[in-house]
Amino acid sequence: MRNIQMQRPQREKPQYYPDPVVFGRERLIWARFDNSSPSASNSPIYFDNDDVLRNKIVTGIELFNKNNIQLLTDYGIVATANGGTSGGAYFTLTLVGWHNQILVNQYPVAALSRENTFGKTKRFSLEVCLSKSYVLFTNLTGVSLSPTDGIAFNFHYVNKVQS
Amino acid sequence: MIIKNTYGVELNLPTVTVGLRTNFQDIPQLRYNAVVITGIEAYTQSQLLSSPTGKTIVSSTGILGISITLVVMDTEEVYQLPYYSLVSGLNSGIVKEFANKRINIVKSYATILNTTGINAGESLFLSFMYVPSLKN
Repeated sequence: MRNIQMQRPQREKPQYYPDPVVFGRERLIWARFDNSSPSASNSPIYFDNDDVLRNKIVTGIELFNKNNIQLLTDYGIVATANGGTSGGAYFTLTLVGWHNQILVNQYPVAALSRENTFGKTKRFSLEVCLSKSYVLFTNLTGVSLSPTDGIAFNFHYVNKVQS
Repeated sequence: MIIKNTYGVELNLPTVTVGLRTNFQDIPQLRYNAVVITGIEAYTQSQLLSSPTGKTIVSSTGILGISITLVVMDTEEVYQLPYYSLVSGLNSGIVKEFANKRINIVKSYATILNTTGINAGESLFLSFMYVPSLKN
């Protein structure tokens, strides 16, 4: 006798993440120019490999500039979020996942600044491989940025729930 | 809104004429059977001066003359939405959310309603927030 029991379609097992509304921890992460001022269009500036985001869920990202904070280390940060001669408006952010999949493609970094979010941190739910992620300089007009500067992001994250 | 994936989309305006419609290019990652759109954020020169292809982004004055129409299947479900309303930096930082729309991107378009502040060759730049469709 044939087994005619109907089978339900297989669906991917859902992953349950913590509520991203609650910021667990945060960490300032840099994309540094490393003494080589970005002067050519489309030159990616990679993040330092930072294991702090391994097995973590990024829940929010902010951009800092000199309107918010001056100097944290021996590196400076871009002067303004918008425009100017050293602003964040020249850059986009691309975040890549652990399987090389692009999660965030060419997101203007200035849109993450407090000037554009009005103090509300942009919320995400991402598992980011930081060493494959980068900031892209998009300007063609030869604006010169200080080679000792960088871009400072504040990544909010929580631990990934292990199933 | 909580962003799970975003894709930056450039829409170049090679000529500037009142009433001109410019369709979005095909973006394989955003095809309507692959993803549902959960939100759209747009930008002016204040947030991004040049696009990744090196085109100047339309200024905050120029965007006042642009509207966006979004097509689902063959229906213009979002018709002539002012581009201004999609710029979160001009709207208290709020990203415009959509109720999981399957947008037919190549049939969606921008319309120039007023040419003031728009120069030929400039581009619009938007981020489409999306989630992949469930596999059956």
